[in-house]
Amino acid sequence: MKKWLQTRLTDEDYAFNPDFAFLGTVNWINCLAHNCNDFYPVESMFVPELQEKANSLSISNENRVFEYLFMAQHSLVGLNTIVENITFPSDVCKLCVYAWYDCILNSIRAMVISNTGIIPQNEIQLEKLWFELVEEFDFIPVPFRLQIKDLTECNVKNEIESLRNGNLFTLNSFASNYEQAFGGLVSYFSGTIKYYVDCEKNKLLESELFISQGILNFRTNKAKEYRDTHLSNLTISFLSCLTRFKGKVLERDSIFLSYGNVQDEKVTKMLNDLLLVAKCFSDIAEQFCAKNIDPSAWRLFRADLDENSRLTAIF
Amino acid sequence: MITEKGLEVVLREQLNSGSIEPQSFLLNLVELHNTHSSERNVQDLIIRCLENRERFKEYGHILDYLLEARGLFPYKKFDDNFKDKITKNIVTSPLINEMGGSKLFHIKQFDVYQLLMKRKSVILSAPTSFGKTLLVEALIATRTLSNIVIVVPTLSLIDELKKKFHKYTVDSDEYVVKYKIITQVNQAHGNNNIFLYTQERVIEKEGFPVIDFFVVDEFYKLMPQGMDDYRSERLNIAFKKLLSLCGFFYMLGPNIKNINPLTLSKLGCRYIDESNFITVATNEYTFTIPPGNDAERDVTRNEYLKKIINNISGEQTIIYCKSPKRASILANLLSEIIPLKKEHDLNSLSNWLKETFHPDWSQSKIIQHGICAHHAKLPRSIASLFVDLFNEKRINVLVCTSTLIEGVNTNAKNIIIYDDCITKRVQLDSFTYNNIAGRSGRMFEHFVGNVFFFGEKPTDGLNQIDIPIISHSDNVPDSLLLHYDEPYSEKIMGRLNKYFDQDVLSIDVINKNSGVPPEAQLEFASDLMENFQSWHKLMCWNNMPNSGQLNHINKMAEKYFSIKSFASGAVKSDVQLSRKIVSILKNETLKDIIDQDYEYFSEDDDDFTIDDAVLRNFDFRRKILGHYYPVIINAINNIQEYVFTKFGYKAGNYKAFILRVESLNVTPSLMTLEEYGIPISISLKANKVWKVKDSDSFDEAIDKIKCCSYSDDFKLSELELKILEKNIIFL
Repeated sequence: MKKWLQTRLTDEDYAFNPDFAFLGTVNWINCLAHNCNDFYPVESMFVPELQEKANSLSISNENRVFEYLFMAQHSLVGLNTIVENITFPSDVCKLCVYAWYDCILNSIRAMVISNTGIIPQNEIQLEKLWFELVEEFDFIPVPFRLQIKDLTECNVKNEIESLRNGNLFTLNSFASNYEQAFGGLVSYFSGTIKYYVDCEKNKLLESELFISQGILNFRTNKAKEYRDTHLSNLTISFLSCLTRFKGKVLERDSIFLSYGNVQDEKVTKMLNDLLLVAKCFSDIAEQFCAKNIDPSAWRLFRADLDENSRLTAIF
Repeated sequence: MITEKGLEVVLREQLNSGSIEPQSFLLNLVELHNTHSSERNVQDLIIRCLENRERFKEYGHILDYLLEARGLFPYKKFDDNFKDKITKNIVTSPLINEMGGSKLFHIKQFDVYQLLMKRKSVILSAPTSFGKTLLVEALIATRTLSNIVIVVPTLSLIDELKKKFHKYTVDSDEYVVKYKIITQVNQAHGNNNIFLYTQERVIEKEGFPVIDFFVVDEFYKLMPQGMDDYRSERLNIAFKKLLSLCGFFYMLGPNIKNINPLTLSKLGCRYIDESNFITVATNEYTFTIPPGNDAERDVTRNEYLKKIINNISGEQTIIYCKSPKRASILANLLSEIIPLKKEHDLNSLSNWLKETFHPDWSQSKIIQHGICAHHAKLPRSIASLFVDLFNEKRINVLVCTSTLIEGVNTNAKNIIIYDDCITKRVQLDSFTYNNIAGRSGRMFEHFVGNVFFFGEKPTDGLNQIDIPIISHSDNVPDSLLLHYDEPYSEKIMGRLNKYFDQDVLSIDVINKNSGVPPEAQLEFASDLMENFQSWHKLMCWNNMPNSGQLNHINKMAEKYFSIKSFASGAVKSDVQLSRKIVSILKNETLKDIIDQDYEYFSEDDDDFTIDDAVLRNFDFRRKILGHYYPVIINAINNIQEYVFTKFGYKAGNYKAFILRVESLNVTPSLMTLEEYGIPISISLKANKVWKVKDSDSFDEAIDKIKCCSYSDDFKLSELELKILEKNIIFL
């Protein structure tokens, strides 16, 4: 059967490659889930490192942490309910990705506030604080701690090579072990860096500075210097990957997940992987926050949810 | 001339005052005995003489004459003469005492033993220290019976009997017959077996071997104490099942006045009432408590209590309270009166309780004073440990609820009945009073026990015991009526019609779900039939449910079977029940959960203590997850299986899930060790060496444990090792 819509879209944009995009989307989550399986269920990994930090948050900050954790839980439970009742996976994949994203984003917010006492005012600030948090605590598990500072081409190349360490696995295939999955994660990480670097370069080209100096590309040394100075201060983290993934799936990728060949099995796998990653991340966030919050307030929060939360209990 | 009653009073006064001329006292006692009146009182006086045997040393032969005349052979000092030799020979039991000699029966035990040896079924009513259970042991010791089933009301009694009968399980050159003690439903049989079961396990057990003899302990529990006495219902069903397997039985219980004649004639057995045959004497002291609410009355009670405790300092004492909470409060109060014992072992135990359960649990502190609160909420191994410590006199005061009075043997000299009621509203009756009071004194240890009663001594009690499954009495719940054999009376048929005239569930399924009201089963099954398509996905699962399925099943458990009502406030909704089960499945620590509950509930309730949080969680784990939840989920399982199969749908199977929840998400065999006095915290540590797996049967687990009953790699504290070593031998 002719894929009329796909043909039209491809005719319009040659970069439109549903098969490639589908693999990237499904396989990245699979690689994350593979890596999560390595340490899930999460045990008390934070206890020794964070014991000193208790009792330092204001009540208002504590409240934000509780709110974000509860919101994260809400999305997680929603995702769980959908995944447990999948009949037609394509119908719900977009919703699932949104729930997954919301769960992790709110978990990150809670972690950041519980650790710093700062309530991020925008995503840039959140990205910066999350980056610092991961730098500070080396026990944040691997799939969530891939990050880089200084996005200049040379540094990115070195970092990626170092991470790859000869592992050439990409997202074009389905990872069947931890090593391959890690290769897939680095591949997506590398792609994300490239995506954001391109965005930043475009922003620069459209900036007042470049326009006023008549810079149209990065062929000149001066343009390169501006570019590298700008890029050297930028960071990419798991949060960037998360945001990019959500952006892709909620936009054009959602078509790949719900159009054309029957991919029910793979999409179902993706939804289960989303759930596993979200569960894993929310567990980490909960443990992390528990160690930063006044123990008494934490216990009250837990006991209150125990009695009053109307959300389904999941395990 | 002095009357018999007058003589008794005089003798009693002499005994109490201590101004006795031994010879004339004993001769007067002989005279009183010869009148054959007031036999219980004569026996009481004779036993009191034993308390001061030294005083009567010179006239020991008269005392021994009286002991023999009353049939109290175990107390008599036998001579080497022919007559004594003959007598002793006749009343010698097959049991061996601690000194390696033979134990003697008293005359009444001997009578019952003779009947049992002739394979005559007997129902015996006799006081606590009579030695009713000893007769069971005597029969076992004859090693003439291959398979014996003993039904007891509580797991504590299984624990006690298991230890008592352990000696019949070991290899011996002397005997060919050796028994295997079976306490779990899924254990394999040996050649000769002693099944120590609760009624639930008798019902659950499939494929009993040929049974030669069965025993029902505390048989009065066969008579329902209301229309929702499901334990009685199950005991009746178990009794019927055993009766269909074996016609030879022995039922024992205390202070039963009589048995429904119809029941007796149908059973064709002997009923023997030896309620007046005492082997220990009792001093009863009654203290009047002015009317008022508990708080007001407690003021007076506590004044009396302090005085009594000061007077009986150091003696083994049990204090009865109506609830675990009150037991806990009272134990704390006593710790202010009774000084610290400063014993290394008690200190270690205190620290262990703090580490294992909660640092602020008051029990961990008061144990250092030699005091324990014993009740049904405690983890089984801990309850068993407390009883052992009490019997070893390491602790001297047990503050308990009714749990301890249902047959568990202790060496208490004093019983203080602090509360004159069983629950908030139900007053103590004379039957229960006697049952509690009967715990005072112990043969050879405390010839005279003391009972201190706060309140007005009750007069009403159990007048007549009925066994509904035999008599077909209609004063029982429908669920029990459904187990009656036909023909039914018109009245019973009228009640059962609603179950026979429906095609929602088969009677077999309803009966399989014993303990779950049939009406509720039918209502659930009807709704399941109406919604079977939409509920199928939520109910057709094996092994473990997903979250939605768990929530659905809990919703059903609450909506149709009111699971919440059994939770004593620990669960307020089906959603919360799911969350609590998930926390168990996620292995959240008990300590964390207790902390959470305490923090939360004490915010609004100043009276909510850490002990309340501890008890609430103990209760939830033991009562809900350990009993009610499995019963209800099992019923739901049976019903969905029936309905879905009927509609040609695939059915679920919840058995693995039930086992996992019941075992609090630890290896089931390790959880079973709790019944053997081994706390789960210790088993989990030792299992790093034992390597018992989830899939191992209990027999396989025992083999693994016995293979390495000791290892340095256990990484257990000295105390933990002691607890383990002490109990592992009974596996």
